[in-house]
Amino acid sequence: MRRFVLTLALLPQMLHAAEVPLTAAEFGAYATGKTLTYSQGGSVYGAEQYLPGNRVLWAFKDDTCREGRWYEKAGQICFVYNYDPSPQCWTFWQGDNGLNARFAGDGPGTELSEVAMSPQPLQCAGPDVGV
Amino acid sequence: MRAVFPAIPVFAAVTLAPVALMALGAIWGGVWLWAGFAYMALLVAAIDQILPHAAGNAAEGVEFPGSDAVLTVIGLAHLALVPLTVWAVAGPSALTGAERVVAFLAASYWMGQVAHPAAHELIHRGNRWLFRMGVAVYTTILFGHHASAHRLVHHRAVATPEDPSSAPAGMGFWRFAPRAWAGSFRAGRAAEDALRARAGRGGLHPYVVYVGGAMASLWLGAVIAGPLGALVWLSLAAYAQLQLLLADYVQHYGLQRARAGTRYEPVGPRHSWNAPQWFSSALMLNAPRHSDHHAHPGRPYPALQLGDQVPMLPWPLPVACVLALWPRQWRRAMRPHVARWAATAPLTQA
Repeated sequence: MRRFVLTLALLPQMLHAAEVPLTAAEFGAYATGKTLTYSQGGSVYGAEQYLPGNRVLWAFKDDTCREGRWYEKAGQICFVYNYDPSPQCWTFWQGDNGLNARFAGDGPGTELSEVAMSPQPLQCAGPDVGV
Repeated sequence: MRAVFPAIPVFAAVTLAPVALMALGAIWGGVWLWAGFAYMALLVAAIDQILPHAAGNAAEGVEFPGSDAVLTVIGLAHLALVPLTVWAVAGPSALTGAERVVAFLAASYWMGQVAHPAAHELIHRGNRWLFRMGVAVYTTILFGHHASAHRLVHHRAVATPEDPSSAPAGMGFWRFAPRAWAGSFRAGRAAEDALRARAGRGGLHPYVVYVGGAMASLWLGAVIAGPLGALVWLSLAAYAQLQLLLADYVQHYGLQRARAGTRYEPVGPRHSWNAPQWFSSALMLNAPRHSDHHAHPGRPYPALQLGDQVPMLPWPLPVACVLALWPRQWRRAMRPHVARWAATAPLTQA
């Protein structure tokens, strides 16, 4: 009986066996020094440059760049930005074609996937100057 | 990286859930009614406190299917909720005396915090029917002229002494409110007259619709529950208007455009107060992202951006509106924030 319950409890994890969450060390080792472009549902979502010291530069597609940093919390990678200091946490895992990420609390189907990787800095659009 | 939310279903759920509670409450009273009241009066402030996050900025150029549909449903819900509440409060409903008070308060909070922002979005829409829905909502809270004055006066003259709906630093809310009400009524009418003279066409003057619609609303209140019904409708409208005036007061308080000769500097992000909290922002259809609204008045609410370098209220917008009822405390609390933005040099065109 106990084994049955255990199997049942682990079943979701087994079905998602490929989705092994990256630790902070693994994430940092993979991403630092790169600019990764993410897509969601086939269209580009945004791009982020990972700098030394856990600093990041994030931009939604065609949006201005936002400075921030990342840290690990409860097995997730969390991001805070200067423009909005409230943390948002994601689970990252290594897929067939690079990183995948899912926003904390989101179900399957909403994940982001890496579509491009570059050693070049993030291309930043100019700040939104007042009309 | 950043998540994009709230999505349209979140706007729909957050804005319409209290209507369902209030509609059930109007008929059965009890727990439904109290839940609707608690949602508007307590839950919003509590969630802003517990989860003060800002939602992400949607990417530019993204379409938001369903965003106008949510506005339309809110508009229709408003047009049903007002007579229903008049019946529940003043008519032969089964509610107790205390429940009638709660029904009144819950409905007027929703009218001020949800129906007004939705109507505000609707009057900025190019589609004639969406625009008319916005006019209908404002007319039933006896404030139809907002549909003219907001677009034709407030957006042009914001943060100058020529806009009756922009409060200069130091002016208390109770002095601002009658000035803004009467000033926007007159300035809106003058703007409509000028528009008609320029276009050289007649047709129904919008102010006939506003005033006639207001009278028809009160008449409907009287039909539902006699003179008391008309009085309750008037009171619901007055309370909703109070919230509308408070939002106008808070969102530009003390921010002034620099004057150069006879002209003012262009409207910029620094001429509106903003607030980031995602829950009250969703409830108010991103009205707290006010700088971006003035920069892009036609931009649909899910696309409004929260900038990096914009005046930020030290509280969520609904809390700021409550605080503004006490002018002395309001002035004192806002003084350093206003001073900071007054001291910043105007943005120069890059």
